[in-house]
Amino acid sequence: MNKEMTSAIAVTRFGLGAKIGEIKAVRSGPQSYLLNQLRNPQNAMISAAGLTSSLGAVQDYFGSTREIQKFDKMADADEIAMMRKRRNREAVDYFRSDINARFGHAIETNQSFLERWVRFWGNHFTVSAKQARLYGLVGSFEREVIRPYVLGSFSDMVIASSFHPAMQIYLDNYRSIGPRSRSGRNNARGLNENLAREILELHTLGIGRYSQRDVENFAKALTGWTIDTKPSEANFGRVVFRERWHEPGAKNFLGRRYADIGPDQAAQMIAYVSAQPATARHIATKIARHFVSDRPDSRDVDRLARVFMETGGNLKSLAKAVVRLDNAWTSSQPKFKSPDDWVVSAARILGEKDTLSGNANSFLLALGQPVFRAPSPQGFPDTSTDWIGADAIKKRLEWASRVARRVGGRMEAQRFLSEALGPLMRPESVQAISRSESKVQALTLALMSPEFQRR
Amino acid sequence: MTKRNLNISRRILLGRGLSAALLSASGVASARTVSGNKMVVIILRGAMDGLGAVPVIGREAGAEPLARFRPDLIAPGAAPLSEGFALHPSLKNVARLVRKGQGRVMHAAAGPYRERSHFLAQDLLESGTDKFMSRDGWLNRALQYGPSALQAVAVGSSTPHIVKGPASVASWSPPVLPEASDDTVARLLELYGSDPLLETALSQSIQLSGTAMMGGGSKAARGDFSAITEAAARLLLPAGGPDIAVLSLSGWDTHASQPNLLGRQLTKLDEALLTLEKTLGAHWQNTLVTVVTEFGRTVRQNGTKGTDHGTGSAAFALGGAVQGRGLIGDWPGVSERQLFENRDLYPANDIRSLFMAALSQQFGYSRADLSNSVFPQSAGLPIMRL
Repeated sequence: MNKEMTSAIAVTRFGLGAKIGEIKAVRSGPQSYLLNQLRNPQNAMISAAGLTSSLGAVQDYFGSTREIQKFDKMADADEIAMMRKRRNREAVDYFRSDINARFGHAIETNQSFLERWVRFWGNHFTVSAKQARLYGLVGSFEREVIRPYVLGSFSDMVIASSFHPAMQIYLDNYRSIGPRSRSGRNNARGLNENLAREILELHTLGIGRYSQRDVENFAKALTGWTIDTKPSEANFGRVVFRERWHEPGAKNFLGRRYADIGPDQAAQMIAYVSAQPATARHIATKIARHFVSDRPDSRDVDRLARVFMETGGNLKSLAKAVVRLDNAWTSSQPKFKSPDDWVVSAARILGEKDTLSGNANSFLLALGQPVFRAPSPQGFPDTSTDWIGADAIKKRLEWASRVARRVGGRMEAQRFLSEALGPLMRPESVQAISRSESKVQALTLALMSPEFQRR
Repeated sequence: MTKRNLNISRRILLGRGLSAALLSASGVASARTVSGNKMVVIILRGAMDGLGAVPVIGREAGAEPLARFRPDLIAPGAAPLSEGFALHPSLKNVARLVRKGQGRVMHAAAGPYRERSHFLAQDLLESGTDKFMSRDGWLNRALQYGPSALQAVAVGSSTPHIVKGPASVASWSPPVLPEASDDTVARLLELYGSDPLLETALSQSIQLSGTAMMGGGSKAARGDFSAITEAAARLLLPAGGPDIAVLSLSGWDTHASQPNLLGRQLTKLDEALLTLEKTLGAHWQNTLVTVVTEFGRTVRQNGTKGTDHGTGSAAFALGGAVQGRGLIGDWPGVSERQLFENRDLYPANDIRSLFMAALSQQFGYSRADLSNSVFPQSAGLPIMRL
């Protein structure tokens, strides 16, 4: 395979798509271009300027909620409704700022393999803005849980995720109380096993590797971990351990006994499941599916699982290992771009203004992949058939036409394709473009071409 | 897209010499013979609380009052049905249908899955098997192996697993931006000539949009479930169009504050069913709607005035094609000792029975069709009349 083709694959399949000139610039060493992005963990971070930390977002939301509750007794219904609206609007503002910063970074970065790696892990640990209280937090989750650990240890990331306020709220643990805890014995509230189950099923071991009993005992170990929502407390806005909610006692979990040590019992269980071969295999399969093929070769999965086990779940080593898989370097474009991938790859050439200005997330909602709003804790799907359908193509065509009208001929369609794809550009597309009735139509066809929709 | 555009689009497709099979799959009228019977499958994603939607009120159905298990979750004003059951007060239209013999409940229904993961339970509900990782959905297999050539359409923003598989299934959701010109669409179709996946997807969407948007569609574009259901009904109306439509309504995972959430969800569902009935008009008489969810929720309320993932839930069969009356299948009871794993409604009825009954009643699927191909592990399940 020639250098230019290898370069195009590096930039489109591993990265988020070429910027102008990127395929040519990378030609001298496509593999080292990817591996160099993994050198400095700091490169995975984005500037937090203008963005709100989880602490700030929790304090703002629950602080306002407390105010509303105080007013509720005096009950001017309109006033209360206004306060609620203001509180929720603030959360949505934080949400939008995070989405814009994330898009901006994805479009500009010269380290887009690392950014794809961040997005992969963000989807693995899905938190979704399904309630007002989560809107302000889902962006900070990616900045505080995913980016800092994305070249570090998997187990650290699972722990950071499980005890982040966004995950605590999304999977209901912050309101879960041990039935035999001090509060549980005098109180109607009780256990909620949502977080425990999803950590085991989705984040670590994968389905079928544990019993209902394991889920319950893990859920009990997680009780006590909650969010301090009282403005008068010193830890207001932080995730805290509340002894009187914690289910006391030693617990059996996956055939091992965990002593009654209070707050750290759950983290010990998480550390254990994070290092299991079933977890390695689960993670390896997902990585191979994302970077190699919808139906990855079992030898590639084995290879990645082995790296996971040998390095104690080191994510940097896994990123290097996937770059070194021969099967990841075919020119057949085996992956169909998800809507977010497709939109970002267009924006990397055409610029943000003509592609994403306005409410970018509303387009992505229509395309089926709104940022930070996955349909379930499972995250967005990752195979071609999930994204190719009559309706999906129609929605893509609506968006492509709009972008082409906005660009209005300032970028020639053929140049666009050539910059975006290099040697992956096909003669059929060039011919269709050359016969178009207008520059707008030509760019629409380029954006919709089979090769630009694949990676 | 207007009717004019529909005709142009049809011309584009024919002019491009697309195969007859492709056109047929994409909903263009063909010479196939069909009964005119329709089926609609509505999947409630997130696990609807069956005992919330269809509570037990009479002693004959439940040996112990439901309030013992869930004192904060009893909605006042439920509409009584026969046999000791009632319908949640938000299900006004469903109650009307039941009274006139066009609605039945299958209670304590679940698939063959006994764990409590939404995703896997939905996967099994839609794959119609008792093994995970099935590559196709049961509705897709029904299209492949049925006694007549049926067509289906998925309405909504993504392709659900139930329709995935080798048989071509259309999908549609409302436009959100101005659409591309017919000329651009025609050129794109040509460009997709060497890419069958994209070509099929695009030609189907052209056909579907023309039909679905005849009702306007601006509310549907905002995600209004009634409006989306109306579009689904329109897609079912033309002779030669789809016989089966699939819709999804999510938001049923009521771990906390269930009374408000469930009431809102059931109202959405109930309004959409009324829209479906009205839009189908005379076709309602030969339509069967099945409303199903992946599993039920715990019988006892949890610590946050909600319910956690459970097992048996309720399902509905609605429409003019309903023939019988009363509860479908068995009722296991909800006393302490009758609960499944001491927490859930016992799964007395396999949800696949409901689908099998619907396919058999509407489209004449035989026992062999159903258990050989569509629901491979279903030989022991009854095929009832709905």
